[in-house]
Amino acid sequence: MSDNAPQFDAIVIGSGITGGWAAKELTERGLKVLMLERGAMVEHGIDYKTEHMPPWEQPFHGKPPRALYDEQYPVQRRCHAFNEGTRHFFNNDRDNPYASDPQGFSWIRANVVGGRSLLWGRQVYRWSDLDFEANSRDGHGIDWPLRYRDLAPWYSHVEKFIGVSGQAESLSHLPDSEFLPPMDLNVVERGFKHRIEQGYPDRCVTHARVAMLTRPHNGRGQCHYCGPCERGCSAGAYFSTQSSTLPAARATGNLTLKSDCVVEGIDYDPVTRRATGVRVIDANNRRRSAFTARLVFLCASTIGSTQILLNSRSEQFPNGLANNSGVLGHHLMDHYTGINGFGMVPGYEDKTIYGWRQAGLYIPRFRNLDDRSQSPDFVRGYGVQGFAFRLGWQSMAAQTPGFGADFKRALRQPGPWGIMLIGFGECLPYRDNRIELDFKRPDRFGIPQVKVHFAWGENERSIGADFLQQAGTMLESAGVQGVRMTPNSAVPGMGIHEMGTARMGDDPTESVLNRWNQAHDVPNLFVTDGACMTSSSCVNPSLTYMALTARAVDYAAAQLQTGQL
Amino acid sequence: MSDQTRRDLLRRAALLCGSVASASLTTRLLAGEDPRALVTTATFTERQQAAVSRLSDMVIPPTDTPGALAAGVPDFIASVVGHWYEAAERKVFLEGLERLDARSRERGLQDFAAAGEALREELLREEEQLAISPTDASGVAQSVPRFFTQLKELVVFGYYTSEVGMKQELAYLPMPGYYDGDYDLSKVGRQFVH
Repeated sequence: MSDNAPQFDAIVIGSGITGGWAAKELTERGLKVLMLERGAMVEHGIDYKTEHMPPWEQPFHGKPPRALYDEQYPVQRRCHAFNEGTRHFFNNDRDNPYASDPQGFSWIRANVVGGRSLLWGRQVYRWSDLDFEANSRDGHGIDWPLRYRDLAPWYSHVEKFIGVSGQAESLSHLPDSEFLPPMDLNVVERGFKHRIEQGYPDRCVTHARVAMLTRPHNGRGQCHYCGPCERGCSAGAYFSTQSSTLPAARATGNLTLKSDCVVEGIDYDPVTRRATGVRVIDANNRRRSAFTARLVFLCASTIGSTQILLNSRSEQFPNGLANNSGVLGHHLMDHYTGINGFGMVPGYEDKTIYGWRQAGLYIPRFRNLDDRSQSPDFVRGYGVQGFAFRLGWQSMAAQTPGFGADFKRALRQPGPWGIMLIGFGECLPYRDNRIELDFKRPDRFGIPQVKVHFAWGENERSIGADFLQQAGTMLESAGVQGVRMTPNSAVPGMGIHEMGTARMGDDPTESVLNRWNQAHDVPNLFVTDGACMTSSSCVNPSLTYMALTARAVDYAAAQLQTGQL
Repeated sequence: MSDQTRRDLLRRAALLCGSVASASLTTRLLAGEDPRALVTTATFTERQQAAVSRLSDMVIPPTDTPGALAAGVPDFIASVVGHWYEAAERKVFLEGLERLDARSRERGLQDFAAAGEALREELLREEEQLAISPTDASGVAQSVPRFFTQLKELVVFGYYTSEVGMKQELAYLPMPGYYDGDYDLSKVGRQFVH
């Protein structure tokens, strides 16, 4: 081996859902891998310091320190999973600034080993050709360079490893996964399902499909229904890097994991026209160093990955690495969500819920599937997540006047049943929705801050309006009372499904990545996180990222072996 | 120092401190917070402490299960009012306690805590009435909740997140093991919490 030989076969940037998958798949093929994470180490189990901690052991019983949140977590605090039990996993906004247009874009980030795989909602759905053909069908955005049949075996590969609980429904537009038994619907959700399917023969109410185990799987324990998954699960009952891909990658003996290691940029050799490695900054002492490798897998999250590419400038790539097309940074998407319907369900007073299930029901897309379901107002569609529950003492206390023994007695019993439906609308890829770097504003590492430009279009607003109308009607037709719908105003970024900015496509003049997630301009550079997405579908994207990552690794490793890389 | 040793030392240090906030202090230190932020001072005078103890049990009294006083809610309130509240909220709360004492002395010659049950009831009902109005006497909207609203929120939250409130008054389910969404309420007779 010469002195110039690369230090590693591959560098994986990021340790979240896709970084973990890239590391697992690469190391299992015998490649020596360096995985870099800009945040701190979180060891499985050991570092879940609030897991199973009751409120009375927490400062102020877990009441959020408001001044601290205002000052240091003004964005992260908007995340449903952000609280005193999880704050240590989230970014401090004051230390990690970014800019956005006045209407704002909430960039929810967890810079720790495992990233947002520790905190995600765990809902996993296969995409279908309804999604992969959408751009070519209605002309918004460019065509995907692949179809469902290309990804189907990789979905299976991923699902068999991570464990997906759910119910097979044989829907062509929401293909079934390799399922473990579903997490049960509760008695009110079952009643709702029955009434909707009676009243709307073209609509399906199924179990949420979740990366949570309903029986032991690959050495991990099944869910014990303790409730707050996002604090971490030492049983490994939900998929995270820590519970699943990291132990697999470590078991090969081929993985080197460096935390607190911020990637500043990717180095490029104009002679070989290859990426040669990465330049990094130690997050603790700010020392700069570099690592070399034959392959680079960029898995730093949608915005994080594109930030690194935009900051990797050279004579050959003055506007960012692999950006000959000029589309790098453009076509940012997020799901249109935060649109809800809620109401009270009469009856079932003699029933309650044992256990804390972080799943519920799912109503697959029912709009624009065929001529009958065609909307004149919008293209694409939306899916609906939902759950029913009995109101607890918090709600009952707010509604119950007085004090004393009668008040106490009133709060002992569970309150009435409520049901919530939450819409997730597809977002079209608009060129103007984009990120750029603000070179005048470096962050604490001297890296230019991200600036986000994002606005919803008319199509997203029409989707939101249709959801509110349809969900309201469905709730009322199922006998739900006092139905209240939120205003039609989704907050950009709060889907936490940001996608695009380094999209895939067959044509190198209008896309960054080819059908293998390989940069058109830099053949040994792969981007497999949400940045690669060409459209957004309306279903949760993480499972698709995992399948794309595993497929890209398979391709890259084969290319390496045959000497083409 | 091993993590376990560090935890033990912190627990012992907290016990020695003996302040009302020591339990939370331990947890905050364990969570790696900057200890300079944790300097505590006594929140309540003895008289205020006595009123808060009375009020806690008036909102959630002992019945077939312990009330808010036995659940440690007054210490929780002292910690929140002293170290979690903003100054404007603290002012409203302390003024509320003063008002109760003053009115009690006007009508019964004694501090609120020492007053008879009927008078204390009457005074707290008056506070509840005050809290129903969203404006003050001059018609100005209130930016901080009224004393009664604060008190009720503090007692309710403190009680139902306390070990006593969760384990004895309600049914604590920290590790259910399975899910049953069609469970007969009569088998437990109260709400589950976690």
